[in-house]
Amino acid sequence: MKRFAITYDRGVMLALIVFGVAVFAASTRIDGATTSPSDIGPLFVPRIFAGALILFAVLAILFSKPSTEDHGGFNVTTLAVAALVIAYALLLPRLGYVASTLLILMAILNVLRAGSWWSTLLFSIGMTGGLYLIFEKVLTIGLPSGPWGF
Amino acid sequence: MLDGLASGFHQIFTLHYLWIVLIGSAVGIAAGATPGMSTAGTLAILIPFTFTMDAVGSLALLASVYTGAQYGGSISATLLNTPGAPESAVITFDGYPLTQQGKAGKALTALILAGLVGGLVGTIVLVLAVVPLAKEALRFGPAEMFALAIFGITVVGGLVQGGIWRGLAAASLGLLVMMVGQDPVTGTNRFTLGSTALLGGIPFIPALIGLFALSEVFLLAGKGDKHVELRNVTTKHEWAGSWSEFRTWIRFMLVGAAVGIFVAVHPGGGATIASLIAYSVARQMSKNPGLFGKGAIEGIITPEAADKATVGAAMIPLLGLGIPGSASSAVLIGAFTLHGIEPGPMIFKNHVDIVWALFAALFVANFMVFALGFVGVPLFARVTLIPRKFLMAAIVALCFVGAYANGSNMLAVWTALAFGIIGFLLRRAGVSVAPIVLGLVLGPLLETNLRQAMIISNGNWLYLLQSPIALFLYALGLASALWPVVSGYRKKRMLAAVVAGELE
Repeated sequence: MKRFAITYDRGVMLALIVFGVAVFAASTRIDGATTSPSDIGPLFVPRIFAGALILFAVLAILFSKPSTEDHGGFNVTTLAVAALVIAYALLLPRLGYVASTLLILMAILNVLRAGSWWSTLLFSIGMTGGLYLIFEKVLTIGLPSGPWGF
Repeated sequence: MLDGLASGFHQIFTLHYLWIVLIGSAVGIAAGATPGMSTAGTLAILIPFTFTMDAVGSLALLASVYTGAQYGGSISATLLNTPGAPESAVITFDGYPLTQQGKAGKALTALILAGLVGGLVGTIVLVLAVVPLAKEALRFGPAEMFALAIFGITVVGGLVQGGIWRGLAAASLGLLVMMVGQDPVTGTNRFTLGSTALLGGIPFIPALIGLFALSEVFLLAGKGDKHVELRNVTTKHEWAGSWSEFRTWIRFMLVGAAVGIFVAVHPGGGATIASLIAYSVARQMSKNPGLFGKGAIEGIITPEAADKATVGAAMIPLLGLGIPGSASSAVLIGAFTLHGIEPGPMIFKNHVDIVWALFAALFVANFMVFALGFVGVPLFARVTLIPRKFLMAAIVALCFVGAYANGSNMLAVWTALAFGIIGFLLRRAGVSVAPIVLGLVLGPLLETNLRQAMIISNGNWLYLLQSPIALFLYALGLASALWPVVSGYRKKRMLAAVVAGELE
């Protein structure tokens, strides 16, 4: 008899099931009142979708073959880049676009060991400045400004 | 129709729009040639750059990027044996052997011409087919629109990688996510976690940026930098040796274009399967099948024409029915909604000028890519050498600034980040993120029309089955659901045939 292994892709599907159940539970706290007796109400469709998510994820766990292709690793570098990207989102409104982008780009390139310090610095300044010019000056879309006004 | 097309060309033939198409084509080729930059990801990143453009300029830019990216992927496939995109993978079978034989110039010339032929044929079919389809779709009521949305969900079978159940789970996730915000009928707040920022729902464009672009960065971080070497190849253009050889090229290109259209008009048919089928057909048609896998020109021009023909053909369901035919055309919905335009049959009533301009832009973009391919191949070949690590850092900055620019608030940034992580986790599991986008598009359409149908029919569920058009769409949906089973079997057979051919 074949052993049922908990693989990564099955784990992802399990997370989707948990999400579907959580949405279903959260829907019980929403006011389901309708404006018309023939209206199915604001909860019917979300619950159907949550049910579909749970059903298809269960079917995927039971019947889908585990993926054999190489879709990339999940190593320290991935975690470090992900942490830096989250830090970027936290720093953006506090330090402003220019300082946070410059810092995070240099940090990411450093984590990835992209090249010499001067190529890292030049690229980070060029990328930050280029995007600032395009969005702030050419497209006149305001970017977050820090304590020093940019 | 001809009047409409003439008005489209009249709009596009201004210096402003021609510049836009030229820049879009060049950016598209460069991005396509860069391994790690998917066409859908490139389009998602570029949408924010079109915020201040008018609708015609925005769509012309993105359509030309889409056209250029399909060709760019074949440059790196031919010169580096590294496809820029999955649909270009088949080009490596014969493109790289041609480069090794010192025939890169001839291969690239043939590819440019194949791209032009495929692209033009695909666009002509788009123009001819989409108007009658949209006219029919304009007669749809809530029951038919609901059936159309159900049909759209079944398209997931074609878009999906990693099994139909995983794809359907991903589509359900997209549908569910779009339930966040105010209910369309009663105005009840749903799943907003008490945040007023979420009352308007999940922002669509930042979600696309996260799913297609930011997730790519996390995936690339796990793969490390692959050292690639551009050999001292000559990219000087070289035409067919004789008139009869040229005629053979054209014949294979037209066959490739026909295959591309046939596959892509099935929503979700996709360029990858089209190029594989085209390769197999070319091998069967060829007088020298033994040359395939060793440097057969027909082995690159047929799939290339098929690949480029899918650009126009994938827009038929998008513009005619409002259902994206591929991941890249799903991203184009973001550009439409940015300008308050809903893709689908109503576009031919409310914004017909923009549609004709889009068609004209597609025609012009094909010629621009052709011209740029001739003068710029040595330059675009160098683009493939950009270190992946710098590319990753650039994508992060582009994603953040693009997401923020969408709503000028941090909700957009956090949405991109959340969807980037979701996209990464799913893609690592071998699940395509395209079904999520399909869910995001179809969720509101499905709910609104179901509820309207129920209110109109006083809660009679059989109302959904009373229209012949709705029944036809349900049948089509069933066929669409079965399509991956058939195409998956075909794809396996094609690959087996290709591998067998290479071993011979």
